[in-house]
This record gives sequence, C-alpha cells and structure tokens, in this order.
Amino acid sequence: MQATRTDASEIELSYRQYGSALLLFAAALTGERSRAQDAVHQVFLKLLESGGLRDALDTKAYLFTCVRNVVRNDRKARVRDVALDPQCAWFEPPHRDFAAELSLRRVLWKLPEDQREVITLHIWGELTFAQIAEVLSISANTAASRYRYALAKLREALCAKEDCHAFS
Amino acid sequence: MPFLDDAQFERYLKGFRPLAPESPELEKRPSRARRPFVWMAWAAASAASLVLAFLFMHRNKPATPLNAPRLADSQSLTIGRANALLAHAPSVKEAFDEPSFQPHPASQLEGKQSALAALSEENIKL
Repeated sequence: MQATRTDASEIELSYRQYGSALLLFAAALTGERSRAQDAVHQVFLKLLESGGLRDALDTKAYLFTCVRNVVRNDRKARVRDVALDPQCAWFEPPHRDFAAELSLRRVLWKLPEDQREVITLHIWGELTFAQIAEVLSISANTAASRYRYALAKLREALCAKEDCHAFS
Repeated sequence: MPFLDDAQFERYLKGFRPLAPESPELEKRPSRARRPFVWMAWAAASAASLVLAFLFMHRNKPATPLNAPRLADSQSLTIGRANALLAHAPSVKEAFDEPSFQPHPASQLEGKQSALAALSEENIKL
C-alpha cells in the first residue's frame, strides 16, 4: 500500500522534525554516521512505501522504535565491531567547540549500549521515560534508572577528560 | 564547565545539537515528469541560438561591390573575364555563382511569339 499525499506530507514533516534526533540515536547505536543515515532513510522510505504513520499511536516513539529495529537487523548482518570514526561529527557543538564534541562522542560511545540508548532518547530525542519504555520494551522505571546511571557515567568521564574539579 | 547539578549538566548536554541527516537521494532527483520539459526547453534554446547565428552571419555577409564586373547575358566567359570576376568577388564560390545563376530574359524576335504565349491565348475546348 502506497502512502497518500497526506501521508507523504506527514512523513516529510516527521522527517524534518525528528530527523536529527533519530540520526543521533542511530549513530549512538552504530557508531557510524553513514550507517546511521542509511538506517534513518530506510525507515522513512519504508514508511512511504507501506502507507505512512496511520497505525502509530505515538509517532515519535514509533519512529525511534523503527530506527532501532533497522539498526539491529543491520547489525545481525554484520558481525564485526565498529570503531568510532573521529571525522564524522554527530553534534553541532556550542561555541564551535569541536574538541568537546569529539570528547562527548567518545564518552557516549564507551557507555553500555542500553544506557547509551536511554540517554540519547531522553536528552536529544526528548522522549519521556514512558515513551522510552515503549521504544525499548522495558518499564519506565528501568528506563529512568538506566538514565541516571548513564548521566553519572557521562559526567564522570567528561569531568576526567576536562580535569574538572567543580563537579559535585 | 562546572556542572553543579544534574539539571545544569543536562542543559550542557542539550547545548550539543544533533546534526540533521542529509536529504535522501530520492529528494535530490528531479521527477520523471519534469524531464521532458527540461529536454524540450534545451532543444528550443539550441534551435533559437542556431537561427540567430544563421541570421547574424547573413546580415554581416559583405555584399558584392557595385563596381564589380558583371558578366553580361550575351558575353561568353573568357579567361580574362573570369580573372576579373575572381578578383572582385568575395569568394571563389560567389565568383562562379555569379555567371551561373543569372536570369536570362526571354528574348523574342520581332513578329514572333512564344509557344507558351500562343497556347495561353487559345481557347481550348475539351
């Protein structure tokens, strides 16, 4: 079933609205921007082919779930480990601080995957813990707990990198 | 970057804006429906420029000078006359075209009539 014109414009709107956060989420799972981009494009192309977002109760959560599934399916096809590509940025850093961007990316990449997923979804995807729970098929409490761990680890790691003594 | 509490640290993290994905290839490609119009526009532009170039070349072509020798109808072509024609004509081709394509007025002897004129006057009944 092909998407109608209304569906297509809704899909395009979702792409513009959530594209960046979905790309970051996919990059946090794959470690590679190009693979992440492929995953995001694959999701939207499939949506255009299959009739749109009509069946999705929560569009945002649904899109993140789709991206996650595509990345996981792709990962099954590739068994090798992926090294982080330092040239491909994930973020536009504040004050063009590209060193901080690289540090953040490295620290994020070192987090366990389940924590990395949650922190990406909550901070940059702006999903609630209930939505994260839906995307990852876990409880909202588990999502919140993983988030706290992830935040603490990120803070600690960034602190160590920056030789920061002001952190509590 | 002193982070006093979680909220401050979260704000710091949110200051890093995720980069937008590039447009998929499908968006970049012009639709198939548009392609014939593009080709037609190109073809029209090329044809128009050819016509303009042709017109421009013919406008700027030097005309045969007025004082150039012309071959009279009754004159026969001799080496001397051919040399004179070649000397004044803008190109060799035009020098040869000049005597070749001159209209020959029909000359009639007095008291005689051309067959075509006689036939046109006759009232032929079928």
